[in-house]
Parts: sequence; C-alpha cells; structure tokens
Amino acid sequence: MHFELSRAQRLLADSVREFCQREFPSSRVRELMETEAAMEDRLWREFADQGWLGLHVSEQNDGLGLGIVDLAVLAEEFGRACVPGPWFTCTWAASLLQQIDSETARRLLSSLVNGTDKVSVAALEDDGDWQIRPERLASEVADGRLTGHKQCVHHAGQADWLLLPVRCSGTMAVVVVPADADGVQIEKTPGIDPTRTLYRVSFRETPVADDQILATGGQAADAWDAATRIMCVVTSAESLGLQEWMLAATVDYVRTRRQFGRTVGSFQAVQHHCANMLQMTDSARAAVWHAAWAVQEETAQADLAASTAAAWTSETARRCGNLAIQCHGGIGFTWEHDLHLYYRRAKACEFLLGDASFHREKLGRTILAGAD
Amino acid sequence: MDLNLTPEEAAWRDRLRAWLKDNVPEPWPQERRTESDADYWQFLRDWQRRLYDGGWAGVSWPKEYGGGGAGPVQQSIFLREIVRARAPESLGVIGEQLVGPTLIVWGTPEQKQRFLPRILTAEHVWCQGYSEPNSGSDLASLTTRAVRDGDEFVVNGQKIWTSFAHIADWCLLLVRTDPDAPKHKGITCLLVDMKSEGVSTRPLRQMSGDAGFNEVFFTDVRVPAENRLGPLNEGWRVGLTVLMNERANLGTAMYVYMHNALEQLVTRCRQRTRRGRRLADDPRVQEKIGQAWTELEIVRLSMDRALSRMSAGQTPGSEGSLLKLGWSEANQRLVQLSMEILGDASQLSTFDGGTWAYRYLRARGNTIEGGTSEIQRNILAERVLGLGKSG
Ligand SMILES: Cc1cc2nc3c(=O)[nH]c(=O)nc-3n(C[C@H](O)[C@H](O)[C@H](O)COP(=O)(O)OP(=O)(O)OC[C@H]3O[C@@H](n4cnc5c(N)ncnc54)[C@H](O)[C@@H]3O)c2cc1C
Repeated sequence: MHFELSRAQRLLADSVREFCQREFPSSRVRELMETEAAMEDRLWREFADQGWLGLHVSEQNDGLGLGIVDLAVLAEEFGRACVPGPWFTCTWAASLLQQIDSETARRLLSSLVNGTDKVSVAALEDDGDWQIRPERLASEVADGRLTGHKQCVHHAGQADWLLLPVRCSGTMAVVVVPADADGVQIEKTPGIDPTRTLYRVSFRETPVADDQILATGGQAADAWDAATRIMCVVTSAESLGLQEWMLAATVDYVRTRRQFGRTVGSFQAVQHHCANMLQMTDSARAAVWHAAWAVQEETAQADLAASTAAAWTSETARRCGNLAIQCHGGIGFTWEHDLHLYYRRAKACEFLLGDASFHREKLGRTILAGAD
Repeated sequence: MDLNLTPEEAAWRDRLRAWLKDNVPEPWPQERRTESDADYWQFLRDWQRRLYDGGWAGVSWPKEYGGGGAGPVQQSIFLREIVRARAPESLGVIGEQLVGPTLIVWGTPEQKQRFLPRILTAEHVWCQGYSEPNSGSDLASLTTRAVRDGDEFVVNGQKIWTSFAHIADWCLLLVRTDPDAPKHKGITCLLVDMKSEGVSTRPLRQMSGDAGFNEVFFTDVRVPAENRLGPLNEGWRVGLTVLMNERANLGTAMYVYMHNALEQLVTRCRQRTRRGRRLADDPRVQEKIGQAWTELEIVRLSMDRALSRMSAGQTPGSEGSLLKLGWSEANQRLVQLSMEILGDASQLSTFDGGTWAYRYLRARGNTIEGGTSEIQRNILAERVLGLGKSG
C-alpha cells in the first residue's frame, strides 16, 4: 500500500498552487466575485491551455487523460485559493459527457475542454433532492419539448449549453440545450457563496431535437452516477483545500495575536481548537484520497468511498470554519477578513451533491441492503 | 416547586395577552431583519414606543422610572407572551437589557431620572463601548484615555466592534482614568452623548454582509463629569454589571429570535415536499425539528430558572456565563439544523428573503460577542467550579 501522492502529482500540486498564488490572491477573488461571471476570459483561456478543463478527460477527447487522483489534487488547490467561477460545473459537465457515447457529446466535450464553450449542469429541482431518479424528476421531455425548473445551477448565466437530467418516456435521459434556446429563462438567485453565481433555470416548451438527447434509460442513469461519483470527489477535495487554508490562517493568527500578555495560541482552549482542526483536516485528506483512488480505479467500493468522503468533508469543512472564526475573535467576523469567503464556500460545498445527512442515509441504505 | 402561575400572575398575564392581541402590528417585516436596515429600526422604535405607552416596557424596572415594578416571574411571562403573540423583537437590547439594569444599580437619582425613561420610550438607543483593537478578551487592558479637566473629562482613543454605534444616541464607555494603577483599578465608566464633538463612527461590514458594528474614534471629546457612572476608577465593577446583564439578559432577545425562526421553519416543512412527501412527514425531518425544539426549550427553561433565582433588580452572577454559553451555541445549532432541513434553497437570497443564510452567518458572532465562549468557560471553571487559573 502506498497512501501518498506520486512525484508527478506533487509537482502538479505545486504548479497549481503557484499559479493560484499569482492569479488568485484574495484581492483578485474579491474583485471577480463582484462580477456575475466570477471569472476572466484570459484566465479561462489559461485553464484550457494548462489542460485543467479536461484533466481527467481522455486524450482522444482533447483532455490530458490523467486520473481522478490528479483531479482531486487540482481541486484541492482550487479550494485552497477559493478559486471563483464555473470550473466546478464545467468539470461536472465534462465528467458526464465523457461517459456518453454520442457524436454530439463528443463535440461538446471537446469544445468545453479547449475552452470555447462553457457548459453548466442543471441538476437540482424544486424538491431539493440530490437523488436524481426518473420517477421523481419534474422536468420532462415530451414530443420534442422540454418543460421544467432547475435551481442552484452554477453559472447558467454565462453558459453556452445546459446539460440536464430529465424524464423522457418514463425513463431518465440526459439532454443538452443551448442556453439561449426558446423558452429558456435564466434568473440569478445569489447563494451564500458569492464566488459562484447561482441561477434558477426554467424551460417552457423548449425544443429538444433527437440528437440533443444524449443518453436514455440505464445508460443515462449509469453516466449520471459515474459523473456524480467523480464530482463527490471533486467537491470533497475542494472542501479539503478550504480546510487547509482555514487551519493555516488560524494557526498563523493565534501565534501573533496577544491578549493577557501572551499569544492567544498559548491558551489551551485555543490550542485544542487548532488541534481539532488539524485532526479534521488530516482525516478529510484520507477520505478524499481514498475516494479519488477508488473512483479512479472503479473499485467495488467506489460509490461508498465517494459518499464517505462527501459525508465527512461536508461536516469537517464547516466545523473547521466554525473554529477558525472562533479563534480569530471579532476580526474573524468581518467582511474584510478572508475567512468568510472560505466559510461561505464551505457551506455551499456542504450542500453540493447532497449534504452529510444525505450521504449518510445513502451509505446506510447501501450497507443495510448488502448480503449478510 | 410549583411552576404554575399564582392567580395574580395569571391575571397579569391575561391583561398582557389582551393588550398584545390588540396592539401587535401585523404583519411585521421579519424577513427584513438585517442590522443596517433603517426602516426596520424605525419600525422597532415605533413598536417600543407603543409598548411603553401601553405600560408594558421595562416590566421589572422600578415604577418611578417608567418601568412596571414587577418581578422576574412577570419578566418571564412577558417573554413568553411576546413570543406567543408573534410580536417584534426588542430594538433597545443594549439600553433595555444592559445599560438600564446597570443604571438601576450604579446610577445617581438624577442619572436614573434622566436616562431610564428614555430607554423605555426608545428615545435613546444605546451602544456599548468596551472592546478596543488590542483589548478584546483582555478587556481590562483597555487604553482609551479620559483626563479630568474642570467639570469635564476629555476622552481620546478608539473602540472597535461597537454594535449599533451607527444608530446610537448614547454610549456606555469604559475609559482609563488612572494609567498607573493596576489594570482593573484605573478604569472609569462614562455615559457619552454620541453627538458630542470629536466622536466619529466608521461602520465595519460584518461577515454577514451588513454593517452591524463599528469603529468609534474619540478625539478630545468633552464629557460632563456628571455623566460618570459609578465611582472614579471603579469602572471595572460597573462594567462587569453590564457584562453580567448582557450574558444573562440577551438570552431573552435570542429566545424570541430563535422562536420566530423555528416557527418559520415549521411552516416551510408543512409546505415543501421532497421525495413525494411533505418535509413534515419525513421522520428524519421530524427528528431534527424535535432537536430544534429541545434546544429552544432548554434556553427558555434555563433562563426561567435563573430568573427565579435572581430577585428583582439584583445583578445576575455566574448564571450569566452559563446562560450565554447555552443560548449562543443553541442558536448556532438551530440555524445549522434549519438549513439541513430546508436544503440547498435555504442558502439563496431569494428564499425567505435570505433570512436563513443571514441567520447562519450572523450566529457565528454569538459565541464571540459579549465575551467569547472560551472566556465564559474559563469563568465557569475558575470561579464557579473553583478549579483555579489555567496555564
Ligand atoms: C457581532 C459582534 C458584536 C460585538 N459587539 C460589541 C459591542 O457592542 N461592544 C463591544 O465593546 N464589543 C463588541 N464586540 C467585541 C467582542 O466583545 C470581542 O470580539 C470579544 O470580546 C473577543 O475579543 P477579540 O475580538 O479581541 O478576540 P481575542 O480576545 O483576540 O480572542 C481571540 C481568540 O482567543 C481566545 N482567547 C483569548 N483569551 C483567552 C483565554 N484567556 N483563554 C482562552 N482563550 C482565549 C478567544 O476566545 C478567541 O477565540 C462584538 C463582537 C462581535 C463578533
């Protein structure tokens, strides 16, 4: 067993970190988050040139052909810098498209990977259930027309294409719709995390041609589940990066802030908070790496591992945030301090693809259904 | 033990209930509760004035200063009835819950006459000038200076995190009057008119996005000597009275705030569906609502018990730290539970006016303001349990 990153993966981490330090200092993140796109064309181009829009996409599809562990490394660094914008949703779209064997999907994937088109995944419906099952999807394609609503869609306002699960002839289908198609209405609904803009998307009798229905039935469900597993790893890895930053910022602060004639980090109460943050971050790393490896190798445990990581990091990122703010005192409660950017992102990641209680229930159900 | 009301208490409650039924404005703009909303402040001022005119402001304050002259039991009844009637929260928390009770203990008859009624009518909104950039948990190290000059004190220095300073009329200020004395022995408490020349406030944006607290700068501010509260260089003791009241009494406002949240949450659970059934019919949601209810009950009951231990007008002691630890963390758990139940939509500014995300972020301040949870635990361990100072 070798529960560590390879040399190449460490180099990847270093180069991404260096890039983020240069391009995404918090002052820049704050400027970007004041804009709806939360991203600059120039930087998006850079992402494409670096291969970060298709790190895990096969080389036939213009990706780098790396694994999910590499993707987790990238996501962690993006989390550490609180990188704003549509990278998450575009990576989700890429993960989904590459599972699908269709000419339209391939073309779309390649224009996504090379940075030409942005694709947002519109998954969540009004009932807020992350378990996407055809019998419960209210969005439906019938007679070549799509009608329904999706909420909390990342960066739909800047997307060229929307990728979504729908009900179609009683089964699940994955369809793609141009964001400016007839009957598509996109409304901004700001969330707690200003570094990613959320939208409510409504479809009314939006035309959907046959080649826009990318997959149906078991194929669609399998593609959806596979992409979900990957993205559970990605959001968990981002949460891990957030935690790493919060821990480091807190330790730095309590080392220098003085009260009662000594550093506040010398008080045992504060030390224990920091130690708890460390333990949570360390354990989150184990969960994220395990999930990344299991999903990459498609082991029998992949689903469980992905949900375990999501369940664990949903909690640890939030709790690290709670402790980080607490150890900072008043300054940690200000807008000026960067902590709240991380705290808000952690809350958004907690929800994304299901919160801890969603994943725990899923884990419980799977385990209880298993053979004795 | 008898937790029933006496016939007199019950009669008092019935009178209050009838009054509230006729006077609570309906509907009131709960969702607009962000601390920088000027209309909302005016709305709360009007409501406070109506309470006063009806004879229901400052239930446990002495009658001669406009209060109700009743005891802690009535205060508890009042709280419960306010919640039951879905009445607005109190605006003058600092004045009513912190400054007033401290004035009652330490004020001269003139000071009481001058300030207490105006707190109850909401003519004066107060702020509390304690923390400084280098003096937070170690409050006694504060360095804002006041020097006696004839009939006045001249104040120079800076406060920070001063809640409500941007709308306050008066400030209860701790200053250093004897820099040579040991740190607890050289502090004095002054009552400062926020309109005085040389006072300037700079709002600080809170992580919740609104401007709730401020930096306050004092440059050669002249404060009449008669505005000294309590003896010279005894300000630490005066200040502690305020803090004890803060920790104990702010639970009252918090309880109302939490109760309103739970009520709204319950309504949403009855309206919204997930996996083909109402949230209200999901056993997992039911369990979480049960948890939230328990949090609230514990806050209410702990407060009732503390109230019954304090006779009217008496300063709360270590109860303050117990209660504050309790209500601050309870509110944090409540908002977490609420968002877990409501799901992704609860983070949106378009959902219930953004109240859930706001409450979630604002709650982080609860375990910092009024003395951090670490400091409360130190107090309980050292002074109540007698475990000695930790290293
Ligand atoms: C929303 C909000 C509103 C506020 N309103 C007001 C107001 O109206 N007026 C006012 O005067 N102040 C106000 N404050 C300030 C508040 O009282 C201080 O922030 C608080 O006392 C902590 O001080 P600090 O921020 O300097 O943190 P520090 O004292 O620097 O504390 C940093 C960390 O060290 C810990 N720590 C410090 N000393 C010890 C110790 N001995 N043992 C263990 N741990 C320790 C703290 O618990 C904290 O975790 C407000 C604060 C907030 C967040």
